[in-house]
Amino acid sequence: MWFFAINENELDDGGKKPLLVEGEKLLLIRQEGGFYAISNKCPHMDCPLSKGSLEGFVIKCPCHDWLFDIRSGEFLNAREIKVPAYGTKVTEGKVYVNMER
Amino acid sequence: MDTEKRMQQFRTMFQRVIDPLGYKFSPDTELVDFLLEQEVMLEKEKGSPYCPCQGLTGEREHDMQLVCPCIPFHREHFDAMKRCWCGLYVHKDVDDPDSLVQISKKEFEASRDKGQA
Ligand code: FES
Repeated sequence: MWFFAINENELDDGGKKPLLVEGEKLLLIRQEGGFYAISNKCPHMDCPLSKGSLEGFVIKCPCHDWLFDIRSGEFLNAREIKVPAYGTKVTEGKVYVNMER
Repeated sequence: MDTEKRMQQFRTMFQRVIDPLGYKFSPDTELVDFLLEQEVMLEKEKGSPYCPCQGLTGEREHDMQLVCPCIPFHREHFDAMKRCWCGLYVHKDVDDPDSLVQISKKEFEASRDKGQA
């Protein structure tokens, strides 16, 4: 099920925005022209990834520095651990997130 | 927050992390309780639930790899022992944690390097 997230022009490239979609805390990121949506809760101890730093497609959790690939949600040190990642699409200037993973 | 409650939260959060890695909490529940309590104290004192069995250096990069569960950062060594340093976590197939043999980091690194040579 696709849900409206934001207008495309609300987020610049390299930017991130925490959102609440269907009761889920999400983090929407725009990088190299694409939009990526992941859960905003770190799978380690639930810290908000929105407060972390983004370098390329890798976000670093502000609490204990775990690194995640925003495209797949994978934790770089153990790929079995993932932050939930959601599909996105842009239609007529609006960004939608697919809440079914 | 009281210690019991925080210990319970650690159990829930850490279970989520260790399960996909093939680990479980040790069947030695007394040990698990003791170590989790230590971690709650460490969190109160130092800000994070560091491994109670390792020394911190104050260098962030080093110390962050000792926040529990630190399995992802020391997995090869733990897999060789089927347990973490403290014995808080063991491989899922371990029923008798006392039967596991500890290997020091030095020993482990030496045997690994030999294996690769
Ligand atoms: S809560 Fe994200 S690395 Fe610990």
